[in-house]
Order: sequence, then structure tokens, then C-alpha cells
Amino acid sequence: SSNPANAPLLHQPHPLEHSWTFWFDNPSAKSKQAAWGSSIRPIYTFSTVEEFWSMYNSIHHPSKLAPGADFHCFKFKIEPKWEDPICSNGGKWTMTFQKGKSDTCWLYTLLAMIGEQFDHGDEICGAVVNVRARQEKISIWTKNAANEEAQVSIGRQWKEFLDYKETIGFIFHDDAKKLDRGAKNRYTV
Amino acid sequence: PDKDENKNTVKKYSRDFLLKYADQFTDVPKDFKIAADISDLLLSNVASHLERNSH
Repeated sequence: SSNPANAPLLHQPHPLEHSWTFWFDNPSAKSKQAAWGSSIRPIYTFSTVEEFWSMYNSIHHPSKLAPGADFHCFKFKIEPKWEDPICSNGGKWTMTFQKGKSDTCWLYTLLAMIGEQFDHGDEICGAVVNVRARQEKISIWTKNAANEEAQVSIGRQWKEFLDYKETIGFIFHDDAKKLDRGAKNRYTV
Repeated sequence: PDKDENKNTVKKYSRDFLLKYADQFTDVPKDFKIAADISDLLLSNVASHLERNSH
């Protein structure tokens, strides 16, 4: 008789709680002085564990993306822009990494989001990795920046999932719009 | 047929559970189309990303 351990796994797709869209901002388009945000475009929308891996395994991870690239994973129908009605009152937590050192944390951030590991997962819009010449940054965007309890919970859990030891800060999109790089952290964990 | 998932239950998956499927789905999704101008920037044809599963 056949050994069941050698039988191929039956692939029942595992549905995710939400559908998610990968977005890519193309650094070469940016250099053409296109209006901000005009070069960002949706790449792929997935709603199962299997679709996630098919896509994730087919694309460059942050360490292989060209400096200037922004790669986003946002809930379906939420655009990774301040102007998006769901994002507009929100903000973001940000972690900074040395060049080429963000791949694992980017993956773990995605897995925590799509696997609904955050107690306040409803507050999350999505995540972005910004690849730059000297460093990489990962941010989680949330909906209601003024809801301190939810934001602090998300920030704490995120650090825990990634075993990230540095202090991280939360910036309101509103402050970033007005003050650009002068925006101060409203919360830190 | 014995799938009696409560519709109110959030579909939660731990990292370890999700990682079990990492190397079973490595082909570009069938319905995936990418604009030519960014395919080189974004797509990796190398399977080296699976090396993380070797430990």
C-alpha cells in the first residue's frame, strides 16, 4: 500500500481575511519629474496564501530593488497615498534598516498583516518599503492617527513580531503634509 | 463538507503556518501581467530567495 506521507498535498487555497494589492513606484519614471504619485501603480491583487507566495517569490525583495523604488502592499481599494480618503486622517510607524538588511523584516511585516496578527488589524491600511541609496525604511500606514491606543498597540506588536529593538516613531500624515521632514513623532514605542 | 467556519471568525494565520507554503508556490501567478517598462526592475527570475528555507 502507498505511504500517505508521500502523497501529494491537496491544495485547498487558504483565503485571507482581506484582499491586498502590491503597488510599485518606478524610480526611472520619477526622474522624469513626473508629478508626485503619478508613477505609482498597482501590480497585483491577491486574496489567498497561495497567490501571495506566487507573487512574492516572483519579485525582487527590497535588497535587489533599485534605489528610489517604493514597494507597497495595501488593502484592496486603499491607495497608498495621503489623499486616499481612508489614509487621509492616518499616519505611519517607520523602521529604518541598513542598506540591504530589510528583506526578512519586510517579509515578516507582510506575513503579520495578511495573517491578521495585529489586535488592531482593522486600523491598518498597508505597508511600504522605501529603498534608498543608503538605507531602507519600512512603514505601516494606519487609518485613525488620533486613536493613540490603537496606534501604540500596532507599533508595539510590530516591533515584537520582528524582534526590532530600536525605538520607533509614529508620524501623522497631516503633520508630514504641512511640515515635510520637520514632522515630529506623535507617539513612540 | 465538514468546513463549518464561522463567518465571524477572522482568518488568522501565524507566520510559521504561512512560511510552510513559501516554497510550494514559486511560479508567477497565471493571471499576472506586468508592464514591460518595469518588469526588469521588479521581477526576479532567480530562485535564490528560497535559500532562507535551508536552515
